[in-house]
Amino acid sequence: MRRVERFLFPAASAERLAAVRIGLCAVLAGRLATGPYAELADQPRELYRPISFMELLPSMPPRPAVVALQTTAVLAAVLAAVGLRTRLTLPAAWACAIVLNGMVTSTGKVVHNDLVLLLCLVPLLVAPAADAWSLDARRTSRRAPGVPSRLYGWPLRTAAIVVAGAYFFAGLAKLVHSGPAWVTSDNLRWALYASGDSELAIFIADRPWLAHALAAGTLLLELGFPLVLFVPRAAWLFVPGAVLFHAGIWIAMGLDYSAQAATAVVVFANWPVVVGALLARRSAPAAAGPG
Amino acid sequence: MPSAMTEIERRSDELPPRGVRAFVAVFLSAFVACGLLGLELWPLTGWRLFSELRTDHQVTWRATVVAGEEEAQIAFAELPRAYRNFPLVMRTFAGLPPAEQTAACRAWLDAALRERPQATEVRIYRVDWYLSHRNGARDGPPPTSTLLLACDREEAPDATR
Repeated sequence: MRRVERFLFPAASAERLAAVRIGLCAVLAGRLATGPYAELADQPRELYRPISFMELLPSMPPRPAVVALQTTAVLAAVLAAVGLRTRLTLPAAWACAIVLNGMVTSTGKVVHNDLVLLLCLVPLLVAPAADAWSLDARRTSRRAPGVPSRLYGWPLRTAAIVVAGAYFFAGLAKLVHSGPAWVTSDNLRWALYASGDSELAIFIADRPWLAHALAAGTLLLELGFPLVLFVPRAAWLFVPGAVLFHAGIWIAMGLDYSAQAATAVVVFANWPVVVGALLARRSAPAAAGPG
Repeated sequence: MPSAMTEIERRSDELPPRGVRAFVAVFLSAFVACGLLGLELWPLTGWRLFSELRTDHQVTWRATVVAGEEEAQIAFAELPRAYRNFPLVMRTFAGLPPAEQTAACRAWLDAALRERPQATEVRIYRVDWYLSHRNGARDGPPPTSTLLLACDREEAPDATR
């Protein structure tokens, strides 16, 4: 039991949690600002295919309501990123984002593109995510403890489990529903041929050996991703691998999983170390300069 | 014997409050259960992404708009976003009651009227085709189109043609 507790509730610095808040809220603000929600508001009721809580609505919400919701969501996400009234703005941004993404996924198919981002934000809704690097912390002169604390570690670990789990379960679903044939058959070739006229898709699909290799690589990446939870250095392999994977899918099939790729980078990068290195690099020439 | 830990170190090693621990347990249990069992409780999901095996044989749908003697394919990608879910709606179209099928068909006719005000009818076809055609192998038989439904603004649907 203590091992599980230590795994789920590790210690981390307030700055590392704050960096994840800033990164995820910035990605969320970008996605919400560019989403197709207002256009979907005009959808005729006959084409509406609600799932989950969207079944409570008889049709897409009216356009003025959607525009108001989108504006509120973007504003709240930006405020949460800078850490102003974070206890209020972060849940507000998340709640609006859930409704707006609920619209996108009520068109006839479960849309996964932003789900990892939304689920990684869940632990931050109740975590002290603005104890550092925030306007709230400046405003209240609240000082985060100088040593890592479990209060800041658990949201990071929960988000990391969500990212790793999303890849793992996607790989597991392929094995459960298709078995080894997902790799050994021409499955990926047909998926690429069916996806459109991208030169990359056709290039891969025309070469069976390449399609098989990429299918195997996809399963290895997805099923192996949880390794990063137990061997942190494995993130150096799996996170760039996931970014390349999503970039390839975008080019070949036109599917935009940039929010998921960005979420993986935000969650697994050690931002305080990155920021510290950048600051040290900036101050080094000044220190070594003339005078 | 007094602990060597300072007060700050001791507090930083404390577990989060019971409520937080319960929240984490419930959230992760639900996340893992949906992933393992393939449940769709959006925003929790079974992560079924390209998990079904693809084959050479594909079933797609196309819709055409009829204006006088002309019949032209509707380019849904060029219509407003609200109408672009035609292939997604068609996945479950066969299971809809006839009245709902007609209502959906008429919604597409309304969209088509924006581009072609003289349009009088929309026809929906099921298309069976083979992906192997795309690499020049020509393994499968040629694509076939089967009329599923036709609708106009006033009359009842005609699926018998």
